[in-house]
Amino acid sequence: MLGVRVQRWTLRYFAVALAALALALALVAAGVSYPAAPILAPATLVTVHLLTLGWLTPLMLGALSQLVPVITRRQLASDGAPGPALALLVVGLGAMLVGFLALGGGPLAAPFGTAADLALPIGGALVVSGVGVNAVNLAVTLWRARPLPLSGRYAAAALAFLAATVLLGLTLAATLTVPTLLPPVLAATLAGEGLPFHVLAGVGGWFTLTAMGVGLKLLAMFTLAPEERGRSGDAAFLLTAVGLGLAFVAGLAATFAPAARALGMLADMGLGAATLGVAVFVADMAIMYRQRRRRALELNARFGAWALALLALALGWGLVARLAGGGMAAFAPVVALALMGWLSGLGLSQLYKIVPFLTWIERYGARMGRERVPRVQDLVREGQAKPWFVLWFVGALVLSLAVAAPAPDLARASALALLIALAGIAWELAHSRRVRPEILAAGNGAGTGDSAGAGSGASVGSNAAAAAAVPLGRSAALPRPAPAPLTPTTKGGANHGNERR
Amino acid sequence: MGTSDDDLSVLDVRDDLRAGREPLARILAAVDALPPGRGLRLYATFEPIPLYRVLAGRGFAHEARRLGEGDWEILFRPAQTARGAAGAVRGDGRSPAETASDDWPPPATHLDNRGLMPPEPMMRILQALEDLAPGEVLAAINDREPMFLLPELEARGHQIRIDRRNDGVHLTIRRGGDRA
Repeated sequence: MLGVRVQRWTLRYFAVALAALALALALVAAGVSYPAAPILAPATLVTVHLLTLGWLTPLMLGALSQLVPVITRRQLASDGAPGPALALLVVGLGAMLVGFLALGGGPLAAPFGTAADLALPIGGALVVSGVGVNAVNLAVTLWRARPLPLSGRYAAAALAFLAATVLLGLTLAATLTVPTLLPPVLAATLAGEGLPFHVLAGVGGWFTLTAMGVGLKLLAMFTLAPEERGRSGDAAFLLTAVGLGLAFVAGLAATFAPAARALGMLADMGLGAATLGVAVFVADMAIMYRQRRRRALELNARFGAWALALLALALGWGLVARLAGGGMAAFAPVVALALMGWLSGLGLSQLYKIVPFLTWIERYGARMGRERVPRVQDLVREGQAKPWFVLWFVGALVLSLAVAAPAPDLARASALALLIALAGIAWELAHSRRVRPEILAAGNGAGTGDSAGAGSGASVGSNAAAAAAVPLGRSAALPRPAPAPLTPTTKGGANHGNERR
Repeated sequence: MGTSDDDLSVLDVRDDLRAGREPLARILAAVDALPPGRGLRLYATFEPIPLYRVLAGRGFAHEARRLGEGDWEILFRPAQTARGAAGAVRGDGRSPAETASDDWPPPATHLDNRGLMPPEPMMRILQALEDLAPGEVLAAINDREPMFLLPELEARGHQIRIDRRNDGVHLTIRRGGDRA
């Protein structure tokens, strides 16, 4: 088959992701996890993995399983694999959460005893298989499509970091549950210093590289801007991906050989290169926005710019924290800003384009050209969605400040604000799947006073394709007005073939 | 633009359209006044798709281009000349899709979808295909390959040839058998 169809699992990945995000925010708002609780408390581990494995990972995997075919112009190696992989991921994450709560001091430690001890490694293994199936599926698809365009190279590098993150995470989990698995020195080093590399590979590599590639592709597509970014685009990609790789490998090696100063220096160079790469990326995206041919920005592009601004802020903040020689605690607000402001902010704002777009293709693809269909924009109410996005980005910024302060009560309040914003955004996404503008449009003449549809229903008439089907008089309310002056040849009245000769 | 401009008369109906006047009579008068072999360069505030059918009936092929918000330029050329011009454009880069399309009739409709946001190019192509008779050919230029359009074309039994060039993705689509 030529071309791309709607990946039927993508929207299910998004649904799972949104539910996990809501749960994580609820835990922070309720005050059971960080910053109200310690960073390695069982409840905090639950929240962190709900955010990373529950929200961001399915979000990125869902987006990639639709976008990689668009980028590579070929079908996924397997169209069906994402389905069972999602089941593995969800069940595995559930087991992992139980496992975290069963760790020493957790609420499930006593009642479940040793059975619960197994939940973490078993859950981890299931998550690894679910993620692995997706990663292999995407990687094979990308591999077959070489040479890759820029957005495809971002996806490929991100998948490599996904593998690194998951493998290191699995090792950490194993040392937490089975302390005798590794030699004591190795285990102690990993438990003490492995975590930052798990975070680096996950947040910096897997999430941020994916978000950079997906953001580049979507924002270029929907602002009509040039997607191949020339030398600045190549520089941003190579500096970020190679720099992160160097920081990860050399840094991890340095924890086991603290005497080898060269390793530490290499890791620092890698971090510096990656920081520079992300900075070049943000600057290049600003140029891309200016190069766009679509002057009016839709909501996803407008708030995509907000997310990029918060990425720049997180980058600067991280740089300052690093130069000031801060420890883990100094980076916590930076990670919070990167997770909530940049990654989640970008994710939510792009969902506001992807979900209506896929819904539209799915519903109207076969009807297009044969009957009047609404525009994609008729499925959304940007005016109603906008305040929720503003609340989201403000909430993300306040949350990072509250983590930095530290002001646990303010952090809880901002998590609640984020939860409310999320509910609003989710409601608007659900609206785009529910609404039937064509029915509202058909009912316009009969005067059906549907208040929700008054704005969007009326705009169906200004639909570019519909307008194009209408004669010069531009009375856009009718699909094909027969008596209009510019259609003297009634449809089917004459044989077009003979007409021209 | 770019092809020989000297054999085209110019008519701008944008003021008529903005003032709400129906420009058809002026357009037809201008077309009737054209000497044999001469074409018309028309400026309008939107793409006058129904006009294509009318002028095709008088032996004109068209080539539409969006100049900006609310500005369109449409070149109407006598069908033979248009084919010659297409051949001249083709000369810059040898394209398998074009050279292989000798068994297809010359395009009955041209669409320039560059500068349109997805999925508008897809909508316009499917819309225009519905106005063709089976076997007739549509030519379109897009900014990018319309990935979601391809399965839909296949499902409707149309054939497509894709040719990526510097100025955009050139699509040639032949309408399949009559609709079910």
